Amino acid sequence: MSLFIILILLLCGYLAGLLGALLGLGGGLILIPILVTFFKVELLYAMGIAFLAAVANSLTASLRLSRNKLTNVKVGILLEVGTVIGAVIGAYLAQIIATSYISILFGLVLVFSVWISLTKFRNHGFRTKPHPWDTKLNLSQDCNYKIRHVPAGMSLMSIAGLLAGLLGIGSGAFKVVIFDIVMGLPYKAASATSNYMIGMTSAAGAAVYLASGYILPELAFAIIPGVLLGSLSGAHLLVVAESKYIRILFNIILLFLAYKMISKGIALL
Amino acid sequence: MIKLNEILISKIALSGIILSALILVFGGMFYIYDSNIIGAQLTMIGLWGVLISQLMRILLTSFMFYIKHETILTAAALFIFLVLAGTILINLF
Repeated sequence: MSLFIILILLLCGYLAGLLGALLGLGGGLILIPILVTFFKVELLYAMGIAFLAAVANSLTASLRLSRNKLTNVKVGILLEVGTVIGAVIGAYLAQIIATSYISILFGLVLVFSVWISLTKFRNHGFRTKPHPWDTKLNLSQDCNYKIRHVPAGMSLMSIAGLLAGLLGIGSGAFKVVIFDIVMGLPYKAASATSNYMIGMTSAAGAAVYLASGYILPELAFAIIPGVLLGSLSGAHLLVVAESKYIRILFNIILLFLAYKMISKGIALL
Repeated sequence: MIKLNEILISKIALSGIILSALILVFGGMFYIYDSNIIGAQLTMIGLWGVLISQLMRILLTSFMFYIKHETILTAAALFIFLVLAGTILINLF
């Protein structure tokens, strides 16, 4: 492996970490299509790296986000219960289901993420009074918002976990949407809490893939340090910057990658 | 007495991930350029280190909730820890 390739992998990791921490995604949405499309890495191996990258991303960004009180740890832990079970089941299913179907599903998930991101009902979702569990468990303690629809959020998070395990992503796009639209968290808190949860969700998948030999050390050693540096920058940006314009650019990249993944999946059928 | 809070837990987890990344980089360099068995082993230690840092964070979080007498959240964090640790153990042995 040449130094040039190592630097490119490092850069890919940096980009995944940066956008992952900034937008509350695991980074898998960026890494998997790049590895599969440009580096011709098999999908399962790309998914293995993406899981590990998501864990690294979450751990690295957590300090900055916790210091700025953006992460709601209580909500994250409570909702992770359903998510982690879904993730373990999904990771096992991914090794049984054909790669072509996963490729197509992944592409569709990307399109859905873009659609959700572009729709105007973000931050204007249905608002009701806070859920009783919010008061009982002090979920919104020291926060300037209230938590709504906790059971519905938990159920939807289980589906997000299943998708995460199946597709090798942190499914952060879904988590942010659930927090934002269903549970009433502000966007930055939704993004930070999603990032916190992604570490746990992806750890289950990473364990399965690592033990099964689906994580290539020669890729991981360049990508993971890149993710680490990227997520430090991303967490800093999330605190200080308005992410509106970055999100538009990100959506364009996602649509391109979705096209590549769907066409690759169809070709494999 | 050191007060266990979210920021301290994040600092510990960050230290863990930085250490793992360093081991991963050194191991990876040995592995790529020398096909060294020690390099391969160091790389694997680095990869597992990332996961162990995450497990440690969850365990410390459950302990933090326990100190604060948050019974349901302590149980939730412990459950997540047990599922993850169980998954790792099942896949290893």
